[in-house]
Amino acid sequence: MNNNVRETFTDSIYEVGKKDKKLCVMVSDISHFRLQKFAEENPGRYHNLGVCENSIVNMAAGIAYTGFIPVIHTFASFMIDRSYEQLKLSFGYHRLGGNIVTIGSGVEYSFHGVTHHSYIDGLLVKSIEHSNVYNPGSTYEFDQLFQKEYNNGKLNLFRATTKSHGLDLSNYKIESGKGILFKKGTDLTIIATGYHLKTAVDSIELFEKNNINIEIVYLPTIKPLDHEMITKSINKTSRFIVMEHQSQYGGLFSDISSLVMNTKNDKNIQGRSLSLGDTFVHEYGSFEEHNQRLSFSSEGLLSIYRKTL
Amino acid sequence: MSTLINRELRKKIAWMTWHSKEGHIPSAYSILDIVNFLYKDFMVFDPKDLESESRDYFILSKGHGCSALYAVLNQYGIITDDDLNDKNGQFARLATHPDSTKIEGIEASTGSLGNGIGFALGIALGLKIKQRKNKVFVIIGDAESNEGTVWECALLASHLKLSNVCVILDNNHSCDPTLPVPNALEKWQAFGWDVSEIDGHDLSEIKDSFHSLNFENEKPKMIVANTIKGKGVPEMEENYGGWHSKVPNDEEINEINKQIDNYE
Repeated sequence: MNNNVRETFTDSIYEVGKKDKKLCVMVSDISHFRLQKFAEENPGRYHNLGVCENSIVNMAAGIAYTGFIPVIHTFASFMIDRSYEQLKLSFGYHRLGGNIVTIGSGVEYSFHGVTHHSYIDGLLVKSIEHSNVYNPGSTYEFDQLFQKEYNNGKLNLFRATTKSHGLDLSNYKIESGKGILFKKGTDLTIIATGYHLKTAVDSIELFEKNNINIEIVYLPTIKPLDHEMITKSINKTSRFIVMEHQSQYGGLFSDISSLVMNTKNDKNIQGRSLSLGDTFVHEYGSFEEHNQRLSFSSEGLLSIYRKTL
Repeated sequence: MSTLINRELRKKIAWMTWHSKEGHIPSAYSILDIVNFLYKDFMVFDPKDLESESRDYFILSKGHGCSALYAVLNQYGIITDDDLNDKNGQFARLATHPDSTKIEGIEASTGSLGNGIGFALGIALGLKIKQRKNKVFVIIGDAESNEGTVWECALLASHLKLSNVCVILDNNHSCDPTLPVPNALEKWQAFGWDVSEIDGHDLSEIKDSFHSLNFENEKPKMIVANTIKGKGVPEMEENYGGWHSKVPNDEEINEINKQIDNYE
């Protein structure tokens, strides 16, 4: 299976669009050719509206008001960072449902520079009333989540990554708000989302060599969080690390820390964040080079555990 | 010069601003005559069936002028006298900007300038896909036209041939001292819109312009309505900046009513 979700998400949209004539796709001049099959078979329900993201968001909300289910698509930095106010007001304030399918969350487009990075896309959409945030790390997850949730009446963010974790999750049930207990352990909970399931899995061997038995909780959904799975795991291990290609402010680590602090327990629980920190990523190079430099690696995780937990 | 119309509605707007201790009277006065005309004489609108599939849509993109909309909808009982009495209260249905989640009959929550027009275009596109005959009317302000989204929409509506949209530019010159948008007619024409220009307080010109709209061609419509901020109260017309969001005191409310009654 092609696990480049940026290349395959259009198949999910095509399949849903065949069955549901309310689905209407509006893109900001990317993925145009990949969506031509949808466009040809669904006249009037596909629009490439050029490079005016703010107005595309407002128009998508307007079209939702008339009963359609919009899908809007471009880079996260433009559809979310730039158009946050429109998402907040035209969708959130009006309590209208719709779907944002983005590329370029975090530093995925590593060669493009800061203009094409988004460090707070998840935070921004999370903060909107009546929203869900999905971070699928494979085509299978995207397809499952999109097919089940595209019409849930909420503002959904689906990240369509070019960077898959490459693991076969087809034996797992993928559901909104549900995590996957990918590996059981006793000493440390590693919480990963999207691509970083791979980073977590790659680190198993190194941790084992150091006699540390890690538990891996994988989260294809960032909002709503799987409170039950997360608290159960952290209460067991008392130690956790959250990995995310987002700012250190208001990301998954904040949500999980808040969850821990608001849950009664008698343990001395400690958690650490492996995020992009509070600086922009000015360096270029490949995605993998970014990961190595920023400690998103087996060695990086072990170092955090050794030094701070 | 035409005679002042909608005097009682003007008094009601002043009263609700005085009573609720907040509002934008001059901005409401500049659009009032067009808003009342649309609901009373032009749009497909049934106050007893506000969700009617055949209804026309009205979006007040310049949301701060909403006391005009409140006064107009109050005539049909959509907004009640109790709502007006309670405006700006903790659990009120009305505030200084309109909230469509609280009032059935208000189509969009607006207040942040430059967004209502895009929302309206989305409605128009949805209606077009469904091959419906409904029309979408939008009022934007001239200062609102400082927003880049307005010009994105000028381009998009024309590109999408949204002939079912009519945008009314409330050209009340509120941005003249700051960032004026001159030659509006030529600008919108250049974007491919069907444009006309009227005196936005002259009922016969208002009627003629709306009845002349050609919804059969492929162009979106723009009516440049030359209006006066604070129209009906000479003191406000003269000092519209000072009165932009000013709340009249007891003495001033009486003076406003007097000036409206005596207006030619």
